[in-house]
Amino acid sequence: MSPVFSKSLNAICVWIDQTPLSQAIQATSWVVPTVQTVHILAIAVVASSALMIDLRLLGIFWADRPMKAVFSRFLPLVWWPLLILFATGAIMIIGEPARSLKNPAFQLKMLLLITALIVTGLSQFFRRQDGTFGDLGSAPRLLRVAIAVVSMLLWSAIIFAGRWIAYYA
Amino acid sequence: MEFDRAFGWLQATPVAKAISENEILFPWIESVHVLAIVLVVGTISIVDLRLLGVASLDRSARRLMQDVLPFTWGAFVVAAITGSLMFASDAVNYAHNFFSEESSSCFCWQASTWRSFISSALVISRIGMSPSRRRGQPRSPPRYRCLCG
Repeated sequence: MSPVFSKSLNAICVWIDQTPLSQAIQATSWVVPTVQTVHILAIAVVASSALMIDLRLLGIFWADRPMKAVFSRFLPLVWWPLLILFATGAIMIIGEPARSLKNPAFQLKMLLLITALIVTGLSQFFRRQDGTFGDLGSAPRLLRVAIAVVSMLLWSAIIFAGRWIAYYA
Repeated sequence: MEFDRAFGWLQATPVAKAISENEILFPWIESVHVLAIVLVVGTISIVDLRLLGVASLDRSARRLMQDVLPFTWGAFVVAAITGSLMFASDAVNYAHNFFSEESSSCFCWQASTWRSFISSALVISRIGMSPSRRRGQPRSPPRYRCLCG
C-alpha cells in the first residue's frame, strides 16, 4: 500500500473515531455484538440464496424448474439484504474504524464483495441478453458452470475474510 | 472430576493438539464452521418460509423439503465436525464455559439454531412416515399443521 494512501486512511480513521456517533457506539457494549448478529443473519440469507442460484446453474437444484422461477425466487434475496449488510457494516466501521478499514482481511473482503456483485450482475445481464441463459441444455454451458463455481467461491471467500478480520485486528 | 479427565484426554489427542498448537488451523476451521452455519440457517429458512406460507408457494412443502433439506443436512454435518474439532482443541475450558454465565448468550444462540433444526427434522420425519399419495387419490391434508417448535 502506498504511504500516501496509508496516511490518508489513517486520517479518515482518526476522524471517524472522534465523531459523536462513533463515541456513542464505543460507549455502549451491546451495539456492536447486536449489529454483528444481524449482519451474519443477513449474510445467511444472501449466501444461501446465491447458493441456490449457483446450484441451479450447475443443474443440481430445481433442475425440473425453469431458470425464471429460480431467479425470481432467489435473486431479490441476494440484492435486498445487501442494504441491511451495508447499514450494519457501516455501524461496525463507525464504531471501530481502525479495526476494520486498516485491516487487510477487511480490504480483501470488500474487493471480493465487489467481484461477487459483478458476477451476480453478469448472470442477470446474460439472462436479459438471452432469455434461455441458465436453462439446462442452453448453449454456453461452460459460461453457466463457470459463473456458478466462481460465485460460490467468492461468497465463501467473503465469509472467510469476514471471519479473519477478527484475527488481523 | 471424571468429565475433566475425559475432556483432558480429548484435548491431548493428536488432532486436538495439532489444532491448538498451530496458529492458523483454528481460524480456518472456524471459517468453515461459520460458512456451514450460515448455510444451515439460510437453507432451513427457505423451508420455514414455505411452511409459514410466505414463499415458494408454487412448490409443495414436501417437494421443497426434498429439494432443500439435503443441503441443510450436509452443511449441518460440516458444522458439527468443525465445531467438534474446535471444541476438542480446548475441551476442558470449553466444557467449563458451557455452564458459565458469560457464554450463556452465545450458548442460547447455538441452542436456537439447534432448536430450529430439530423442529425441521421432526417435520420431515413426520412427513416421511405419512402414507404416500397414490396417483389419482385426493391430496391428504398436511400432517404438519402444528409447528410447535
